[in-house]
Amino acid sequence: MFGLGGGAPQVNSKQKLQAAEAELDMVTGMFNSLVSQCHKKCINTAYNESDVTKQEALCLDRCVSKYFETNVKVGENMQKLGQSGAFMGRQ
Amino acid sequence: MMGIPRFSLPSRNWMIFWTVLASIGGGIAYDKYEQKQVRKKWMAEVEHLSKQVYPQDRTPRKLTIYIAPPPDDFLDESLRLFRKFIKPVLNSASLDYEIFSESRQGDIRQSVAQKIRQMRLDRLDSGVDGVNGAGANSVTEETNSKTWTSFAGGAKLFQKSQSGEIEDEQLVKRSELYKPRDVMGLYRVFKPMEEVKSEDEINPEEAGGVICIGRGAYKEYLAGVHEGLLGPLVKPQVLIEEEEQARIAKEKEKEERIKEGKPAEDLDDDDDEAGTKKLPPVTKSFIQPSEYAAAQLAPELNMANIILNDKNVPVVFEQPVYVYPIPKLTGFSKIPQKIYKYFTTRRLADDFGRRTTSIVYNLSRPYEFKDTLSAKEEEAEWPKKWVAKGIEKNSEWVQELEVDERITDRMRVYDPELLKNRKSYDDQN
Repeated sequence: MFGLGGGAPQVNSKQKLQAAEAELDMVTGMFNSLVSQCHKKCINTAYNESDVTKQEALCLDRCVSKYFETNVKVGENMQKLGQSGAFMGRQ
Repeated sequence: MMGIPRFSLPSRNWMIFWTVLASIGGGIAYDKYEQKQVRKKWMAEVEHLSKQVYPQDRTPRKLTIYIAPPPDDFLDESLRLFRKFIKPVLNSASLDYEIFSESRQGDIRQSVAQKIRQMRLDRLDSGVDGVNGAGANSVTEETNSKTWTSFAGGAKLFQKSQSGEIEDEQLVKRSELYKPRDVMGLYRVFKPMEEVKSEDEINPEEAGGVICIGRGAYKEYLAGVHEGLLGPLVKPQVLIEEEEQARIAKEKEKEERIKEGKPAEDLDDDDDEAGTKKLPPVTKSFIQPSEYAAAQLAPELNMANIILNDKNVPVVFEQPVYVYPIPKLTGFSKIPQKIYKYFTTRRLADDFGRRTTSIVYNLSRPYEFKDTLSAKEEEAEWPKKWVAKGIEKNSEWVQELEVDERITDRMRVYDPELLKNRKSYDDQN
């Protein structure tokens, strides 16, 4: 889902651990940017209410699902590019 | 020169020019300003709905919107109407919606019918003894159990790799092992939300709603519902043969062109320049309107109560429906009318705002015969040449809309007239 594909069939445990760490970093980074972006977009910073209103709830819903969907799409595309070797001018 | 500057009006021609310019410009500006005010008025009318405090485990009511382009025009035209006059009100009332747009005739009909057929097939499979349904449930349970609280599978995976040997193991998709939310660590602190329910689920009587923009979209939607409920579940043999014949005829033509030495490319329209496949052609309706009366009404479904889908939301044909006519004039002789309409778009904005508000408030009544004719006024304005071509090609839009009472008796429609009975509306106006 988040890049990295299936990897080569023969990988030792160290590489696996590194891959897992990198992936965890990636997921955390994505999550953080998602939270800040959707907060900025949807939440009224006047904070008149302690709870979210219906409008904010709907906006957050849409924001998060859109963000995930885009992320998956971009990830898939990058993976394809990486596999074909066309990425970063490596023809 | 000293003293008061000499003041004189510009020449006659300049006067005419400035007057005409100012009146046209002023007319446009005034109308645009009024449109904004009208939009604001309708948005304010429903705004209180979005200001309420909302529990986290709810999702708002969801509308399904079908948008078709006006005849001989682009989809953008209808989308613009939606964006300017309908969407602001829906957003202001915090309603969720899903848009289906079509750029070829029959798309809406096909997708609606296909969805209903699929549902009927699913019921047919699971309805016998519920075996399939139970199987599907156990799979989802399995995936659900792989959260932080019970991440047994993942733990085993890590242990294996720690043993240090390079083993030739089975590769599985990562998405099958865990979901993003499992690795984020958030749910070690917070309890995952148990169950998110949509408002449609809680209140099936007032769930959802279907909006069609354009008479064509409405016709296709109704035809799709009829096709899905009354038509056969599998493609009838007649259609399969017809398609086969069309394919053979096309191939023959292609061969002949090659024999004659002409390039075959311009005939071969399966692929466009980018190499991407074109969409498969829209399949014809599985049932003709003349066969409606003789057909059996979806025996797989229990028509005695409201039919719910797997999420307990009433399926699309159980939801009330509404159609907006697309005001479009064509033809040389209609130009004065067109100009007049352009300068009074605010009335259209007000009309659309009222209609949308009635949808927001869920003011519906049972389907009556006159609803078969709603937005029919649009048809009078359809370009004559286009209609003639449609009749020749047997297009679905130009045919009379046929309905079956067994289906329409179950349907409800939104009615802006009911808005008059509402108190909050009366107080303001």
